[in-house]
Amino acid sequence: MKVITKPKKERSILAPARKKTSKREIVKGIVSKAECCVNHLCGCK
Amino acid sequence: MKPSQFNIAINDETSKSVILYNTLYGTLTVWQSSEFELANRLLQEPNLRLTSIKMKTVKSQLSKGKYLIPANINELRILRMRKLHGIKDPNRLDVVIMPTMDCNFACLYCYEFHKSGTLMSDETELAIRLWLQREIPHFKVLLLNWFGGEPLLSYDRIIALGTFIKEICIKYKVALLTNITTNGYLLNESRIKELIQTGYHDYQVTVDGPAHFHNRTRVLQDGTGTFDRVFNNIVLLAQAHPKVKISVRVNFNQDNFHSIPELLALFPSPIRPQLRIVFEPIFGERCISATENIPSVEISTSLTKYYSLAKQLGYDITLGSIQPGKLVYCYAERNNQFIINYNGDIFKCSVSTFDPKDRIGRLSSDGQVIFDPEQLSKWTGMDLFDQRCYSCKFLPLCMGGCRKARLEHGNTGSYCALVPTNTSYALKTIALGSFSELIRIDTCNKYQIKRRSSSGMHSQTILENLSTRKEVKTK
Repeated sequence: MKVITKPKKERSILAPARKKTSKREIVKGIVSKAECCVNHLCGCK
Repeated sequence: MKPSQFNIAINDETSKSVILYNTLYGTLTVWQSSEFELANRLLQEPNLRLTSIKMKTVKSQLSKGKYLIPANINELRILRMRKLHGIKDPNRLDVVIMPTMDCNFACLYCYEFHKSGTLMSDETELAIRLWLQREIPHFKVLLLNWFGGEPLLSYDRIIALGTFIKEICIKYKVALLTNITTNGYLLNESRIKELIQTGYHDYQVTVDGPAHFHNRTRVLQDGTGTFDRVFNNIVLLAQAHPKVKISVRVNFNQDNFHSIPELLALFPSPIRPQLRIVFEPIFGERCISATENIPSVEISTSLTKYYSLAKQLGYDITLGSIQPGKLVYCYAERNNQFIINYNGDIFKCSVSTFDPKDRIGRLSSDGQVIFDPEQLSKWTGMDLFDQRCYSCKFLPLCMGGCRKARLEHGNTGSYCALVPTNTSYALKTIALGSFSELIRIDTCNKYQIKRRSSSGMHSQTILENLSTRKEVKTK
């Protein structure tokens, strides 16, 4: 068995919405506009 | 112990291996088919008596990967908690400003109704300033998006308000991330210079293929094609500053879908790393809708091919990560997210006709948000997930689908956004069984497995499910 990715910790998943998380960490986790488009059903502009 | 309800196993007949993925925690492991037999048995009978060291080892591996979990763990509760955290996120303020509903283009597929003369007034701009001056200091990050209509029709306001917002963010040490969604036609050298000086480095511009396709769909109000000017402006913008990033969005349907490689060859190589390529299906009337006219499998396989080609050619391609961690489906689910129309009306979703009767509130002249409780509760009052979502293995990657679509479909649970064209690349790829492609891209060739057979049971099941689902119309 080969491990490609290990399970993510719940704390790190919730981190972007935690009060204590640093500005830098929050910014790092924000997806670009392009990724937002890829991830969602939106109309065409 | 019990198996996680979010395990997905995919057979790769070519390499005689099984890919095991957990969508809740993102664990991804590859097993030889022979060793997976035992793992599968333990997943089905987690309390089986362990009679050998091998059994103990495999059970421990499954447990470490969270494929097997303690019986008292409520995984759906974990997902509800994630979503609530995302909805109440106190760190980021998402603001979309639409300085006009007017547009100089008349794109064939646009869902908006453009209104000439709808420019933001000085009073509305002042209200926005007062509101943001009060709100920004409470957050760590401000996401400011300019949208429309065509926002560059209100160019001066983008500069003036942008400068003001930037100063507040600097004063209160708030990170500012900006984006302008523009058709690119009204850019020129001096504007590009000023926009960059104001701090605008991130843009989205749509190009629907090479000129002979783009000029059919993206036309001026009088029907004139726009390709040459838009293309040249994208090049100018990218060349103006190395920090500039442009999402080049290609809206496709059956007409232009396979012209994508031709378009990708056109942009000069040196600026390609600054261009993020995004392919999006056209929705709307049956005759122009991508999903009505191109088979789902063709869309999915060709998109994978075109994204790979874009990457090979040096473009920045955007792929959803296969790691989980989404807290909400989209920004419109967040409490601290606002779309401010040119007249001060407030909305949640940008795919809208922006009819005042649909607004969730408005900005008063003194910069206060006045919510319409009835409209707001329609948006925020629905269940976190549809009933049907709770049994979906993809829920942790999707987080419940489009709230607007759920509203429009009466919350019946019959709607699901899991179609291969409108959800994340990762999800599409997983759903269509091209997991090996995803691993190949995601791990930068650290671990390669051969392309799996397309006849895998999982992908067939998913495709059967997809074929029974209806596409939502956003027009």
